[in-house]
Amino acid sequence: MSDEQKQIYADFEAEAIPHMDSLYNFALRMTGDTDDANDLIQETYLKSFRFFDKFEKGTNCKAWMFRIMKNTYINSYRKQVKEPDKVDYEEIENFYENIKSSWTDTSHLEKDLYDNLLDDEISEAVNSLPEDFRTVILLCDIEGFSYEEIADFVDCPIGTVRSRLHRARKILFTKLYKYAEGKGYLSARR
Amino acid sequence: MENKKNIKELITAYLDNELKSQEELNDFMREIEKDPSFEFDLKTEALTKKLINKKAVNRVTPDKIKRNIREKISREQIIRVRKNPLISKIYSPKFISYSTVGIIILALLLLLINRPKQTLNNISEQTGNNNMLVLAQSYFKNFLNGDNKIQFTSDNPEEIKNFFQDKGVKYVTFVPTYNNYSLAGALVSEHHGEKFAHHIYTAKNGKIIYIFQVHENYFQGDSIIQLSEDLLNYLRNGNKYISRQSNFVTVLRKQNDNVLAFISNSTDKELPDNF
Repeated sequence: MSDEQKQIYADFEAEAIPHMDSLYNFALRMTGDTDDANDLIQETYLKSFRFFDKFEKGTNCKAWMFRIMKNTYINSYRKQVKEPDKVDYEEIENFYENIKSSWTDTSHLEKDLYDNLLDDEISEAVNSLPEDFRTVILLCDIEGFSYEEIADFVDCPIGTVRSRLHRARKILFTKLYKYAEGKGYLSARR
Repeated sequence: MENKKNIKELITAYLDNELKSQEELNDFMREIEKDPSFEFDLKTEALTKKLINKKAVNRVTPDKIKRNIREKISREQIIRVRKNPLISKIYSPKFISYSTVGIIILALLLLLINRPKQTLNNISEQTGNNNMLVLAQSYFKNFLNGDNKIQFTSDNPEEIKNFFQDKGVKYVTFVPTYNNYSLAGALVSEHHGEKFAHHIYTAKNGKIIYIFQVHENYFQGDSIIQLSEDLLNYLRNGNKYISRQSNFVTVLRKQNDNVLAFISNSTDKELPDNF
């Protein structure tokens, strides 16, 4: 093995391998299937390694690998996934405004939701979002990407990213609120 | 109304630290203070962000997947090195100038253009301890003698492929199915430190088909396993090489990137056509 090849391997080890869990979770949430996620992450790593000489050193390797995963997902995995039902955003807005008018003290609401909702219930709510909304939520709130990086990833303007995030969080909030209400997690103190 | 919608979206940007300038931040704060109803929006959106960030389940990549990824990468690395043993050196300016590279390429092109057409009759004899045909026949005989034993029993091609991978075979394997023959199992051999895939089929009459397969890159560079260049070219052109001995038949052919040796003690004259 030449010194150059050894260096590529060492750089890949240092730059790409640490993002494995993030990519794995993204793969799981996008495909909704363990086997597909297992295949998708392996394919992503193999492609990333093959094209690692194209990666511009000093730029964001994690974002670069997420883009490779996205393209692989779109080409080979997306068609196999059943898209969640479309969301009626106007209905969400109306429901949200009702919640807003019924709470005067939000501190109880925050505590009730944060303390009572289980991790799996939140994950399930995120996974049930339509793909466009789910993608921006995962990239922003879980992976911590900037709007610019997300815009680059989803190939749309930053303003669209912001608007999509706003809507996605509102949809999620109303979903979680309805769920918590149904489970009796919300106290009467409003 | 439109302004209200804009301010709500600015809440999103504020929570994500995306209001970059002090001016933007000051404008936003002024709007928020003007209308106390925005406080609810700010708090619920902050809560939603916190719930996702802190409570959505994050899983750890399973060890098997981590292992597979590392294996695939090192396999890819080996394939690259084997594929381009010269090229990797040529890339270094210390070794050869561009003009020398040009001459080499030209010479190779001329050789390629002027090479004689290969037929089965004028392929040279396959000899030597590292020759794939010799090795395949030797593995087959050892298997019949009981010196080589099945290490993994399964009639499922996918399980056989996984076995090869788990045992360190660094290439994608081909495991077909045949009428009248059942997949019996597989074994992995080691040759000069590298692992190679073998699998076996049996028929009710006791006859067997033995397949030994090798990735093409193993024939390149400082090859661990060899075939004469004329035979390799013959196979690369999509031909089958058939060699009949008194009690068994050997067929060599290419399947994707692998060269496969099929050996059978069957007397069925048509069997090689199915390989």
